[in-house]
Amino acid sequence: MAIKHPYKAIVIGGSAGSFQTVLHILESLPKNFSIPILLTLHRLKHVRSGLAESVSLTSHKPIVEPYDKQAIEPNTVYIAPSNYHLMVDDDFTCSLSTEQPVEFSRPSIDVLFASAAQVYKQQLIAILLSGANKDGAQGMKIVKQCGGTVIIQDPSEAEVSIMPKSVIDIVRPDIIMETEDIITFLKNMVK
Amino acid sequence: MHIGLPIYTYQEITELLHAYIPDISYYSKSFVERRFQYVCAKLYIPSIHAFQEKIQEDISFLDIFMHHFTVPVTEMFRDVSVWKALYSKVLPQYRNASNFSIWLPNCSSGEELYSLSIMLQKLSMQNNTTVYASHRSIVGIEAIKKGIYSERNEQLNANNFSKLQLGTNLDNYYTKSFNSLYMNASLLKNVTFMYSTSILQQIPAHVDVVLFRNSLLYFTVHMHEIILANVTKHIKQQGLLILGLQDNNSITVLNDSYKIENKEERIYRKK
Repeated sequence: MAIKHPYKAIVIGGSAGSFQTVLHILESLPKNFSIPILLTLHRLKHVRSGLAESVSLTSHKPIVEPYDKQAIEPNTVYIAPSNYHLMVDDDFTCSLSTEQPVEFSRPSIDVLFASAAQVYKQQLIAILLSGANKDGAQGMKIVKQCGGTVIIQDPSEAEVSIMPKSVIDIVRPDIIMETEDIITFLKNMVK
Repeated sequence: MHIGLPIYTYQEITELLHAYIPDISYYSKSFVERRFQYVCAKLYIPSIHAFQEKIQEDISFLDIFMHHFTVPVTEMFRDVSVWKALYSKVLPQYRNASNFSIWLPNCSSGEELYSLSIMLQKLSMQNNTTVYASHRSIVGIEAIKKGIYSERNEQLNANNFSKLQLGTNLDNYYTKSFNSLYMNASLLKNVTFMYSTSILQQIPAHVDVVLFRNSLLYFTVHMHEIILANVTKHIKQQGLLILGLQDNNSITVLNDSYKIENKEERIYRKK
């Protein structure tokens, strides 16, 4: 099936209350949805394994906790490893870092979003879900500055609304949607 | 960490720094851009021109720059399972060796060095072990020698340490005063610090173990090969290399020169 959308990558961020939403989004995407997805979820710092395994139970796609400089491939979901920032480099590889936490978070959503924005520019979709701190808002601002598409989960639906609301405070999202509408939006891209 | 569009391009930064830090091009573009910005903000340097003036006024400023440019380690015993493997599998292999040597090519802010030293002391291995600790900054080396750490991470460090179940508490290895932890000076009695002007310089001749975790992250893929080939030259046959859990695992040298000792913990044995 020909893909007519302009997007080359999707980044998703979330914290408290976002895990089930992420699972639902990933399990709902059709097999022909080949755009790579990079995911930063705030997670327990010292629990090394489990997240990728949990996500892979419901997703049709390979779920990878990438090694540093691992190439970003279509049809794959990349999850920020525990205690590392995940970024995108100019050569479309994953880049990891142990630099200081941002907004008390490592991995940080801001870090992923800001780096992906500069690489993919207008070909990036950034989605921010439920969460209890402001990580992600600055990253969304940079996504917007670089021409990417900014989507936030409707704060009235989010289990914890601080994170999506913090975006609205500093930048105008392109779309504010509930989870089911986010899924429909993404599915429509490959119809 | 700097979040935002880079104010200065990689080219502008490297043109400025190349004369003073010849290996600046070894680092990845994105790292140079964000780390330069971070250091400027940290040291209250308002512009690239101000940075240049600062170097011209006082060349020793470069050392301070490198101290902050080097990414610190934020906790002791990071990745507890690796330290468990070190304590129970790796270090005991060398307990009865007459001369055992470990090299940390980038001892960063010192937490890995102190973590290792605590284990060596606990295993009564300080007398037969030499630890070589390389660093890009004299200021950085002096800070590690002082061994003063913020109490901010005390709980995190203690939690990591307790998971090792060594039958002792981490606070036996430091004293606490005001908001700081002062590491016991005896921990460094078998440590030789080595100031290096490049990741490829100032290396001990032949060592048994190299602890090189998460340092490659900031270099280009091309340099991964060169740096690791260089490190490999200085590991004894059958010696061990320990990388960070998520370090690049597609480096040719790893396949060519090592067999995997412990896949989970990224421990490799030189063929």
